[in-house]
Amino acid sequence: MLEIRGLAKRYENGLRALEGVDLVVPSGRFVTVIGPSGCGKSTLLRLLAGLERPSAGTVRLGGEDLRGPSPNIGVVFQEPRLMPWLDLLRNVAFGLSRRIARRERAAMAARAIARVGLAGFERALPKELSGGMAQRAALARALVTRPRLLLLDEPFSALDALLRARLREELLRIWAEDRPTVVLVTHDLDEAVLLADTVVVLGGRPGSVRAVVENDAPRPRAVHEPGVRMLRGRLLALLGSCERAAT
Amino acid sequence: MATLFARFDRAELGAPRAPGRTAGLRRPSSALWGLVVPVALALLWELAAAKGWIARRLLPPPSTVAATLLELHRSGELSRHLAATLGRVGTGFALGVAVGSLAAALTGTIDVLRRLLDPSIQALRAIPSIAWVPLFVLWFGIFETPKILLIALGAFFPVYLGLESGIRSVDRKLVEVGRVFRLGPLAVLLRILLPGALPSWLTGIRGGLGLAWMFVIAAELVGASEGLGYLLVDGQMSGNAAVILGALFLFALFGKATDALLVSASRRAVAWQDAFRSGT
Ligand SMILES: Nc1ncnc2c1ncn2[C@@H]1O[C@H](COP(=O)(O)OP(=O)(O)OP(=O)(O)O)[C@@H](O)[C@H]1O
Ligand SMILES: [Mg+2]
Repeated sequence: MLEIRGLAKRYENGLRALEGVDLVVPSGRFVTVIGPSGCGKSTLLRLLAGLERPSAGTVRLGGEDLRGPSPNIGVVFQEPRLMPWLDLLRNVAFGLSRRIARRERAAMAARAIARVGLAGFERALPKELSGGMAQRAALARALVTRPRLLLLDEPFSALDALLRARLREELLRIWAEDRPTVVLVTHDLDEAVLLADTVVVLGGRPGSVRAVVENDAPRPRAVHEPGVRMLRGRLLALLGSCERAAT
Repeated sequence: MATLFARFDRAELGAPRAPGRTAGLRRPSSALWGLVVPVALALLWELAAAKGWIARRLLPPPSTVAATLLELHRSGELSRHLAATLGRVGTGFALGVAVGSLAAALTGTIDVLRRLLDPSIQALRAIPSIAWVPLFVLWFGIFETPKILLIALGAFFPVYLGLESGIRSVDRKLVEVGRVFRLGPLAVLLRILLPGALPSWLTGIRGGLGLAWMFVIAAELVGASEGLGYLLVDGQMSGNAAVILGALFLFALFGKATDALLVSASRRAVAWQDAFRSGT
């Protein structure tokens, strides 16, 4: 269970990015976060990742207060952020504790690499990977520690539509296997609806939760299904009202 | 799977990778290109001396220089001078690299230290290192210590500046990955900052080597009884231009050779770089 209570973030320059964010996510749920640009989606994710300190409020994961980065949380950024000097295997193994034996680390990394469909590229350097492969590698690096909470900030936004669809499928497959709680930020409404059990709409400045929409459409889903299209329309209307409120 | 593990077992910092095949094919021909001008000049020079166009006493031809060097070599003098100079350069350079790298690693990771020390180091850099010679002689006498310290000082600054600026320019986003995985300051230094700063660090080390060669001459000109710098002084005193030219030639030869060694070693260490014409 992920519990967010009264969460607020005010940056050092005085800018209030988030205020009064309340959200409870049961374990194993897939949550997508949408909202107009600048409403604090990335800020929310960074707070959940423990990379920023909240100015007020708390985040609790599995009943424990979150203070800083946690081994139970995996993060995938918008960019792959691979270490250019490490090959794929070492990049994926990067987050594994040094107390685990080398061979065990290598085996774990190799398994994670196979899960994201990159088997055979263990020795490739980041400069030898395509954008999609690099983002898969970043996903593998986040998964290798078996996090209970997986955070993704517009992970596929730099990729073309076809590749994005494939990576979505892969992410759903992995999610179905491991069942981590997932919070994924996106600006793609289709993506938000296709993936989510719950869609959270952020809005306003400072940003706060404008709507929480449950998505019961059966899986697997496709964009053209009536349930998916209806929900998409609803979200579009909600986003529109956020934009109007902001201006 | 076995090869997979074998690779994984290697040290993480700058693991060498097989150099690209194209580089291996290109290198000999480019080395030949570089030889064209010196060889042509030497031939022209030889010809000019033979025809009497230039004064042999002031500008002896390559054959005379070679004969002089050979003679020095036969008497065992040459290897004594070479050993002295190479020993000084090696020791001083190693000391400068070690201290410069340590200082940069400290100021690069510990913010308080950077604010405390970096301005002073930058200020000291403004003093041309030769200006330290009188003080060093006063403090350490005229034997080996001041020479090695002077060379170390010359190598220190480029190494320090290279690593320090390299660490500062490491992508903040990569450092954040370290935070996500809760790495401590030492792990961030060893696993993110130093590898990320490696290209700039190596550039600094290369500059340091160049300065080490420059400063060994300065040190040996001041007061030495052996070394290539001493040969220069000796040649001047005895009016023997061939000895001076021979020493200059040896400086060029060894300076270039050590530099080439360093470059080829670093090319493999930064093969991961995704840069325009990386490695050339
Ligand atoms: N480090 C920072 N310091 C100061 N202000 C910041 C910082 N990071 C973000 N902000 C501000 O906080 C607000 C929210 O930013 P955030 O990046 O969370 O928005 P976002 O919803 O992710 O936007 P986008 O959809 O464009 O990615 C913005 O006004 C931004 O300028
Ligand atoms: Mg964002």
